[in-house]
Amino acid sequence: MTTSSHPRLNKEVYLGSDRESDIERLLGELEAADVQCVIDLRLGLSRSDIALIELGAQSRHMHFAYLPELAEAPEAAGQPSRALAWAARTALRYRTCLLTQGRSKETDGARQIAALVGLRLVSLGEISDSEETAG
Amino acid sequence: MVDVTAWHGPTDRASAALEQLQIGGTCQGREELIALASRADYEAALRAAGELGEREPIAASPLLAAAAQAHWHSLGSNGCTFASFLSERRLEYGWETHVVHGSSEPRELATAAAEIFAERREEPEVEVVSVLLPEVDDEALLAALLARLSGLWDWDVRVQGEETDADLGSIVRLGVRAAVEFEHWSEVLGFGCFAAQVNTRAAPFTEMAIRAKPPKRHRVNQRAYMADIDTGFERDQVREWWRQTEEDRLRRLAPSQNLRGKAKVSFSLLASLWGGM
Repeated sequence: MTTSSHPRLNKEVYLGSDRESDIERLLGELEAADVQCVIDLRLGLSRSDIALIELGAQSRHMHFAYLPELAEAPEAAGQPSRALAWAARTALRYRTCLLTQGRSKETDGARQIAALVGLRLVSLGEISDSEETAG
Repeated sequence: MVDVTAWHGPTDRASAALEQLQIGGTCQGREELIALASRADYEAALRAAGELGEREPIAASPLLAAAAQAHWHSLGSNGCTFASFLSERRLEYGWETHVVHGSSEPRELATAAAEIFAERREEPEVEVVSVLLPEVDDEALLAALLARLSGLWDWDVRVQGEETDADLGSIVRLGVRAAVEFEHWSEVLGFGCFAAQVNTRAAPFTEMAIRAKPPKRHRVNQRAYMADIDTGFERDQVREWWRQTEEDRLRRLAPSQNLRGKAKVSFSLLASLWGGM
């Protein structure tokens, strides 16, 4: 598995939370953070919820993938699952937000993705805060 | 039995030999004859430097064929300023070449090409995968290979149009696309020495140069192009390269080649060879 040492690959991946449950506001935050890809780890979304965020993300030119299985059960040590390896590679290449509702299983899934390829997991809120105070 | 050799850049000796290349080949451009390095030119340069035996065809040497083809792109022969820049910096920008050789069986060649691409497109640092087929010189073999690819779910080969050439007769323009992530499709650039190929695709060897990734931003038309590769240059520089590319492409194409020279056309073949597939 590639790691983030390649100069053209990312060093960090964002962790986003939709506690606000306002899809437009959430997508606006992702767009403001210049996110290129959203990997949605939220458990228990309905089909219409998924379709809504997928369309919303794509209309803002962000790639989208829904992978709740990465939050459903912790990966055993050893060979990573295909989905976990894919998510980790994707986060290396695209400026990615791993989207959760703040549940511990979802956050653990996000940590596993980041750890697999040595990415730093940064809260999307921290990015927004630092940008707000930087000016 | 098909064999695959990965090429990781020219040796110092091959580089030195290619620096001495004398271009003897020409093609008729829009208004004038244009110098275009041919396979014979590359063989001569490599023989003069002792890198290739007197009776040894370059096509039988996968690594030298790959080095020659990369050099051809670097010279700007394909009329694309982006490709010329990237070809000189392949390691930095993730342009890989895999040479497929040792078989003249379309099924084996197509399977090898598809497997290489399926494996390499997943690597995050890989931007372009070139499948080089130095022993595929027969247009009928290329047509059969493409027909095989068209049957795979992650490849799309379709007729983009037909035309009649005064010298060659009926020609079919084929667009080849390969699936990449996020349901995008990459337009394959096809190269090779075939009668109906346009000047900007008339490379020394048959090659499919495949963009391995979708653009960083989701694109509504779900297409992926070579020019999507992030070179890190300012927008004005990129715009200037687009202008240069368009200008050079027009200069290099013969008046009759305009439709065949479009990006969405991967290969132009004699219609008689495709119709029976």
